[in-house]
Amino acid sequence: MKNTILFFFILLLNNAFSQSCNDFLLVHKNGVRYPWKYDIQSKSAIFFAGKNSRVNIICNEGKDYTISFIVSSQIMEHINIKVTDATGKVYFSTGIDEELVKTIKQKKEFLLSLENQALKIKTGKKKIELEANINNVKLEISKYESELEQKRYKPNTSFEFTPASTMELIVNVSATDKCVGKGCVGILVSNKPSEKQSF
Amino acid sequence: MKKIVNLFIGISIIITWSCNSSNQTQTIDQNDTIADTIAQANEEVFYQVPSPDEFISLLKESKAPFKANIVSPISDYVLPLKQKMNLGVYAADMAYLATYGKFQETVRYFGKIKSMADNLGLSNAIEKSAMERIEKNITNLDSLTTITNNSFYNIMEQLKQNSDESTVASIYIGGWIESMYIALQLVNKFEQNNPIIQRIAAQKLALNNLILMLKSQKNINNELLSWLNSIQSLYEIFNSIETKTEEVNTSTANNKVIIGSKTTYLINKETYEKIKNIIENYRNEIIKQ
Repeated sequence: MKNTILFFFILLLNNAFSQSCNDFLLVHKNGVRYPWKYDIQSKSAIFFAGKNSRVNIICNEGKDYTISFIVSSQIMEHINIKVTDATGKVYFSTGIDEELVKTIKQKKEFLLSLENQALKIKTGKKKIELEANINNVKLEISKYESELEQKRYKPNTSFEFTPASTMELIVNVSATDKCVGKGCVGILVSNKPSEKQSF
Repeated sequence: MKKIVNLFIGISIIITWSCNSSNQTQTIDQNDTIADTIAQANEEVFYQVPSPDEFISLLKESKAPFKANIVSPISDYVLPLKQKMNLGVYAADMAYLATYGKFQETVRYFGKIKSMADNLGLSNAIEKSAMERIEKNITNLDSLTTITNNSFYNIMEQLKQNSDESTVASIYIGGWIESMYIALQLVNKFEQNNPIIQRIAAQKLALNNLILMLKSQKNINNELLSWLNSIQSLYEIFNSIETKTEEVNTSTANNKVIIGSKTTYLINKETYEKIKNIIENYRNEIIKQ
């Protein structure tokens, strides 16, 4: 009996939320200005903790494309977006960059080992070299950390590109498990005829 | 407890009814478990297909000349599937006529699409003022294509909002086949490097998404299933075309990010003729009464 109640409750929520997200792109769609035009492959959906969506779109050779991501403010921090081709090559990503996190961790470990070495050496040329290295690694870490912060708190919200040939692009959107509540994510695709590259 | 269940059922019915503006009914499979529902809700895959006007506009960009009398004559269809597929056919025809600046003809096809949308219960999809705006902008090509394209997009979006997946798929099949038919009619002579032929071969990707879109439908009817089988066999032919790929590193040229690789389709005349014949047969099947 409890399961039946839960089922109807899920159905109820699904209906109510999916309806509200259908209109999510309406305002933004009307904001697409000439020579750009709205592309019918745009999509919006409801997102909550743990949800993943994959939207496969076709981009034609001879057109320039912009994919803009519009996310409800309440879930923005917990949404990861990745645009890849069919082979998995990443062209655009937002959210936590796992590679960058790994690099920072490695650099911090390296810094620690350099600092330990520096403690053992009191003076001399080796000491000066080590201190210079430590400063360089610290600078690198600080650069990567600010990059990470930038991605986390001020992510790019659009991706403009020209496909070399007609190709399939896969837009992956996922909400992390830390996501509290629900919100909408809109993928607004617009295109325009590609400008000629030569005479 | 029974009262609570009844209350939830009642509220669900009211919300389901109020959220769907068309008169569709949604059936719930009794065997669906709650776990299935949650799993499905957590993982979604959508296959999108470009609108017919996207492909048609590229034909003009490829310097394809306009040919008269290749669009489907306007007719009335009785069978629901025919009505839907031919709405897609007329959308492609309208895009072709609008792209090439055939103003009066475009208005005629627009009028037909509007009445077909009304018959599908989508009278709100095309604004009442649209026809008036078209007549005012009849000599402005950009305005004409914008109004006609947006009207078609509104129809498709309203259908998607109503979760009328089978109608969406039927319109896409009709629109895709008609736009391919138009492209094939604009080719004067087979040459592998003809830009229109290269564009036709590249439509394999859109066809694949169309097939996957159909396959992802939960309750596909027998008529659509038959079309799915037909376009799948067509895809096999497209898939047999070998390609030559030149790597283009993600680069910035003239402030533009170029992505992907340059693909040339090594299509031969035999395969081209096979595709042409099949498309013509499918198109004739769709437009016949």
